[in-house]
Amino acid sequence: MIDVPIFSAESCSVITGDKTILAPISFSIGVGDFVAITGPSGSGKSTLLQLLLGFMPTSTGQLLFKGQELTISLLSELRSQTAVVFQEPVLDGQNVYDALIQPFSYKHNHLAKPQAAQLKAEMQAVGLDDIELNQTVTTLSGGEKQRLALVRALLLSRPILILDEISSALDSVNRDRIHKLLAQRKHTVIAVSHDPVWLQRSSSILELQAFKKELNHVGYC
Amino acid sequence: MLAIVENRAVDIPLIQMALLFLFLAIPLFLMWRLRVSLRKKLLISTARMAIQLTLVGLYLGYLFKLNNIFVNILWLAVMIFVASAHIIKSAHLRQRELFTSVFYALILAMLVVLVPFVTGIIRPEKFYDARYMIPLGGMLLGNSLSANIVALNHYVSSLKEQKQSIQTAFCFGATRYEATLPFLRQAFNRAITPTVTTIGTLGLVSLPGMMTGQMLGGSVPTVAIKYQIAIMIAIVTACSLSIFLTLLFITRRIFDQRDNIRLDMFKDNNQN
Repeated sequence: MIDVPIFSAESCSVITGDKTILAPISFSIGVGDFVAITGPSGSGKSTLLQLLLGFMPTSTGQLLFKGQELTISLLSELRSQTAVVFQEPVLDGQNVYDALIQPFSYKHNHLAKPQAAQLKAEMQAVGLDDIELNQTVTTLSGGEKQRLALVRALLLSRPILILDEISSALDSVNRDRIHKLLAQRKHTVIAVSHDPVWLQRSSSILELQAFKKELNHVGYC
Repeated sequence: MLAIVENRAVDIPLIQMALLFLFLAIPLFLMWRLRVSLRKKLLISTARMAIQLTLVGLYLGYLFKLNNIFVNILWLAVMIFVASAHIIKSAHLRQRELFTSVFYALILAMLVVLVPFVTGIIRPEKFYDARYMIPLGGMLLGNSLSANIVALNHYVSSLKEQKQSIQTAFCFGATRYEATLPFLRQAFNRAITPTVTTIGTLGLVSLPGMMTGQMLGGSVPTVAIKYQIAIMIAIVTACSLSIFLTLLFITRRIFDQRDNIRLDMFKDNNQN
């Protein structure tokens, strides 16, 4: 039995006014794929993430989520299966514990609230062993904040992870650690990155160019 | 029913009223000396105040004499209408789309606070008595107006600035209320704090206007104090409720179906 792709796009573009912010693009992302999105500034990487997160409709073409057109009625299902880490994550709360537990204050996630031991285990997995749960978030470095935001996303156990440049503030040791960790788990990972090593280790590369988008798919297609 | 002692305040003759304006020479001189460019504004504002209050005084005199339930309610509705429009304008939002959110919030807050306040606490002979309903409604609305402006300005600018934080919350399964709650909390806190602080210092730092006015009007201090305590409790209640409802109703309207902030709701929609 062939798996239905998580996302498939056919000539999707985004045009605002008379400006094309994402030129037509076609791709397919399957279950368990580790996709890297790359491209120069202004090529539409953020716009593509906005499309995949359902915050933006396509101007032309069609974007399917699990075989169905990603319309407003499907947003709730999409977002119940997605966790996101932005490049400069906002970590609400007084301390690390508050920041990690914050998504579990939402009714949707109440039942899945993790124990402190789970938090520590996930923090250890991303190399934050020496960070205490009662530590103030503002004392963390940029890279630590990004890893903490990743822990927050991982704790939700969502099948799809969308990551915006999370390798940008990481040193090579932590980048390798996180790439390996994500590859080991069963998530479908879609990550914007400029890091050559990260790109090399991904199963597919979606390369965007200013007005020419091409899919250089080395894995699932 | 709270008793009012009928000792009239000493009237200020017109000539003395005219002389009063001479006091303005002091701030005008200071502004000129310090090169603070507010002299024209002060003169215009003072003139506006004098004209507006004279007209309102005449109108209220007529309203008190008429004392008709429908006219009183209509006047309250007009005050709420003007307050709502002013709140939306001050928050740089578009009237057409968001006016009703603020209007309904203020109406609900007035219904919940003003009606029981007048009918259950003050208890005038006629519950709709203009002498009570209109000035008390005006005080509640005036305070709610400034608190709502602070709250709404803070709230909408946070929503625009914290786009990623809100999107993250939506992606983590938050409802609109849950996603915006941190910003609603901050805005509420910022807007209500001055009122709460004022309550704590009343009598020590300042003698509030209503109490002073009543004493000048002939009320004994103990009665004036009762009124002041009552109105302060009503003000903090009306402000809290109206702020919360305004932010809640605005939240329902300011997002599009894909949970983006609708920039077309802002007068200057170039800000991101």
